[in-house]
Amino acid sequence: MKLREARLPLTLVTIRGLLIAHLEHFAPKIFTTPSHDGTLFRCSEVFVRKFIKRSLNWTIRASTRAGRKFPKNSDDILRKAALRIAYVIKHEDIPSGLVANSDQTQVVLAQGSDVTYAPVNSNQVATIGSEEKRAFTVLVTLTNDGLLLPFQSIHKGSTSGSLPSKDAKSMPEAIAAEFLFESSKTTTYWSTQETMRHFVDTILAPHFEKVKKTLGLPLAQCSLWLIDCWSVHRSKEFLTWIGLHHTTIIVIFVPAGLTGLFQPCDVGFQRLCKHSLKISAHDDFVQEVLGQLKNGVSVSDVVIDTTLRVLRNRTVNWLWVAFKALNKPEVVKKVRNLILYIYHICSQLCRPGECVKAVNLTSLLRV
Amino acid sequence: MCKGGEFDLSFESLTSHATRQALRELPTTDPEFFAEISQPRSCAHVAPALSPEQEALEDDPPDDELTDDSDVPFLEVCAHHHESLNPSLPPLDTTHVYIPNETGGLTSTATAEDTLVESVDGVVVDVTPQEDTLPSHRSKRNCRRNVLYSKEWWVDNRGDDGNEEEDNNDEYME
Repeated sequence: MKLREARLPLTLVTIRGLLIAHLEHFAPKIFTTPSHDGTLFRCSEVFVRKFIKRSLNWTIRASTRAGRKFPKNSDDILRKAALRIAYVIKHEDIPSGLVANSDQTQVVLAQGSDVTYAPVNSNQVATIGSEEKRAFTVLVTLTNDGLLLPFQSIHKGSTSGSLPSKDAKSMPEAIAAEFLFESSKTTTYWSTQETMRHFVDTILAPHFEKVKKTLGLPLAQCSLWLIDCWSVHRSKEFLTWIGLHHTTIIVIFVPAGLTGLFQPCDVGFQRLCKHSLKISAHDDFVQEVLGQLKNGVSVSDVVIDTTLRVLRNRTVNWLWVAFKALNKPEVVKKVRNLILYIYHICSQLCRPGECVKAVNLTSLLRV
Repeated sequence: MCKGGEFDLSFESLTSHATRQALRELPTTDPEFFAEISQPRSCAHVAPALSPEQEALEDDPPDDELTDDSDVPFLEVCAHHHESLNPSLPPLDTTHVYIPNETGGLTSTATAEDTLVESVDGVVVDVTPQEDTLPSHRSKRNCRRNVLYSKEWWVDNRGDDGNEEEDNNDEYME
């Protein structure tokens, strides 16, 4: 109730984190005592929804997913798009490692669905949550041979003060992996001409050159870059710049409105990446509350820091964990059974909030 | 897997015999499209022509991404996601605790998550399903009025030997 009165943005993930931290501290056995069907209590989102509805009369606004409508001739459009790519690959003799797809995705700092509450005998429904979405974007790039290129993270603002600090957790690892952390220098956190050019100059083009060198290909060898029809991508300014400064990069666009069917980053990657980020955010929240409880802070005095600076710094570790978990070219295809074996082992050991540890085990695998 | 008709975006498919055969046939099957893709590549890239509706969709896409509950283990989401992309592969032997919800994301169905006993405003509420108190052999069907004999054929036969025609026309039952 104090959280509500403090007008803190509440989400299902943060409430779940609060419950888990308290249960971990006061009743840890609840997570290790199996139910009659053998399952372990994990304080699932299903449980949290029911619990807060009954106990606090709060409701979680369920996220709705409107069905996308694709054009009737989408099959024909996509077939032609595939043939266009195939033609370029054949004509320019482009190897798999020189075919890449980039996609920008929004990452909210407060993970999970917003909470609304309806006090008893009241017709008013209030939404707890900031109207201004606190978020940033990540530009993700996958190559056709399954490699994940370093992330480019873009934050709203115009100075380095709007970026994660250099002492943020996992920042040294992220920098070593050549992640980019940039300010949009605008009022939004979406890519701009400048950030896109910096990405091509710093991440994409050098990677292509490195692959050519590895494969013993000439510098004149062409590469293929698949991107969607977003405004900056299709702008004459950006395309002219690409044509002048990176003559060997052939740009092909994902058919408009069909990224959910044809863009590899959308189809095969974003769901996994977003889920990893959500788990990391939840874990941070649990550790923050649990740490205070273990230090003797009373339940009513627990302080939750949701300042922009703190959340922004945490995003570095979120991205690093996701990168490590997903930057495995053939790990899922070739070692599906091994991952499943590890999952079964970890599911017996994994406590709520510790799922990241299970992910780290896969990073020990070498395919 | 990203599909494009009978092809997909795997390198194997893009360089397969079937794909290259389709390319070889393009000059006859779709000469206009072949002319478009085979024109000499210049350094000037051309953006696709979009309608205003397409531009709006591309520049401000709806927030309808599939999300999984935060309690679902990462590997479970991976396994489920790759199964959905590769239906031809044999299904993984997952725990089946997590199933897709109405939005397509995974959610828990574990019995351990059922909230059967909890304290609400200091009062313990137990919603554990109770056993039925009726004997098991007793039918639970609702009783209803017998209507088998409500037809007119049931003739009033109160012993009156008067008018036979009147007897036959009387309605005896309600």
